[in-house]
Amino acid sequence: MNEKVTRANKRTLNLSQVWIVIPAYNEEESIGIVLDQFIDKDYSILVIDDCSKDKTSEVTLKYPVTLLKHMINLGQGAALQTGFDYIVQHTNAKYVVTFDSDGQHDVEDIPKILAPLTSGQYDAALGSRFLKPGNVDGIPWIKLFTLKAGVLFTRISTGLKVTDTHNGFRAFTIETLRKIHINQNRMAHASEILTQIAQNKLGYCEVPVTIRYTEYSKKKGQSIFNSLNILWDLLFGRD
Amino acid sequence: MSFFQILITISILLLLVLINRSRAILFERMLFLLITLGGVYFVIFPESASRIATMVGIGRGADLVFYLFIIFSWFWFTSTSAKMRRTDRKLTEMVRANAVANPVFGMPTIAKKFR
Repeated sequence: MNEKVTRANKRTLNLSQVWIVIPAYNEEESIGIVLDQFIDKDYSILVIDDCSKDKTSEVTLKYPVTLLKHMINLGQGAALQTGFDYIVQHTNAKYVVTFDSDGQHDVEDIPKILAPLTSGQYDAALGSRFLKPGNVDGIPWIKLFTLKAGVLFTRISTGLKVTDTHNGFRAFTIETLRKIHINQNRMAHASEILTQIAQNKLGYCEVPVTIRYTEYSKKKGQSIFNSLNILWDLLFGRD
Repeated sequence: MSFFQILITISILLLLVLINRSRAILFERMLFLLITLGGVYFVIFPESASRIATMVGIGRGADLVFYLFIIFSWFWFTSTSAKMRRTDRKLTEMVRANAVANPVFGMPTIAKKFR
């Protein structure tokens, strides 16, 4: 194990083998801003357009990225899994990072979230907004309460000691991705990924990441009431 | 709690489990046949519903029919939503296969080399 780790460290990481997966639904206003941040980076980018009604696809195709399109709207969980399938089947990716399309994540956090994986220590790294003090300043209190309730629910149902369950910023090794399959098409996939990490006994860690609560991301983000939908999907959505 | 109340509670729960487990369409068809025949029987012999109701401790025949109606509605609801979930899953797989098979590449000439 130790020998493997040192060997992995010595090899320099080819950034084109790091794939950034960005699910997008009606994000014509922000997807360009997000992709602008990647222009001088060597990462490979995969955008999944979940059947947007606006010009998300047109804006996306102005950038050097791969775009997959859903014929009908399925939800963020389904879009992520579509991206995972493509990467596993058609690319030589080593690491995969999931990234939100509404501009709330910071590209500069990507090396930080990759570090625990490239060192060979962990199978998955999960972004957490609660690990950095002062990080959640712009967050409305009701949102904070709902997120904390989600964390509590996940801790009880999966036994994982995580601090932030509904953060779209995650990184996986390609081997991990082969073991995970998202069946929750809508928003309950966040908890489902954690459940599968627990079931497959994968090594995971949390990494502090910055979340920007802009007016846009607040508008586009999940409404508080949808947390009840998520709970319902988790309790009764199993087939 | 009367014997019938316990029976009806257990049968509701049993139905739920059965619906989620079995994909056998024959089971559903037999049940619907049973409902239809039972309905016809109660229409032709209205007093028989009251007799059975008194026998199992409910009292009125109308109440018995009402309870049965609720059970069968639940059966219909759960079996239909289970079917819808399966259809949704197949649809997801189809949409996904289509998306993965048809990647579109944006602006390969500008900015950076694309592999």
